[in-house]
Amino acid sequence: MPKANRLETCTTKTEAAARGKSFVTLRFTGDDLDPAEISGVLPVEPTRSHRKGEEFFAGPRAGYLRGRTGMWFLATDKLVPGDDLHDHLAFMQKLLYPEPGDDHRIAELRSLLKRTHSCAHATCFWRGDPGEEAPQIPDAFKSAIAPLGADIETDFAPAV
Amino acid sequence: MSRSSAYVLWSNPGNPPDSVARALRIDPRRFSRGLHKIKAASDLSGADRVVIYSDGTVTDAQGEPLGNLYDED
Repeated sequence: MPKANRLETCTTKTEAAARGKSFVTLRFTGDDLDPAEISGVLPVEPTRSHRKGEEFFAGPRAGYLRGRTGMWFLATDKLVPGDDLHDHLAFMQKLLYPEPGDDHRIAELRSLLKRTHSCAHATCFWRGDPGEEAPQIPDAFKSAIAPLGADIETDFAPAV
Repeated sequence: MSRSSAYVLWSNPGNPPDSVARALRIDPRRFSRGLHKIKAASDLSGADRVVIYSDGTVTDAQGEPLGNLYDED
């Protein structure tokens, strides 16, 4: 292989490894949850969704699995370009509040979660580069999802 | 999903060390990303125990399959 091509290959592998160091997930879960109802409120294709007991395709290796509970799950890694956690949080916030002060989606979700005895959870993933400081979750995001009663779990780790 | 020849690489709560990723020949960051997504999509927290097999299969503590790390990118 010519030298230039070898270098190109190395660069591509390095970039691939560096890609995706941040993303955010949001999920709604409950035995009585029909994920189609969440999709009726949030205009985005979920990463995974199923009712309790329903079979779903989990991937070529995993094959078909059965939903242990009702689930609507969204991960931002395929939806938001870049590795800035704040961009991923902003995407999620914009999904919940399409315009400043427009909380109709939040109101519909609250009602749906209450009726189906379901819960909301958010997670933030970040793997830093050596010496990089872990990001902070902005108060604005915490306030934005507070009406859903969602906890925010952080999975932050610097490179060693 | 057949795990007849696969063996357990990890069976603990929390995040596995990079040696588990290396055993699977997966970049550590991609591995962490994939495991985070599998756990979250299974309504588990990071602290919950999972079992990781040498074929990439991830199950919960009761042996119920949750996904496969080679399916995650």
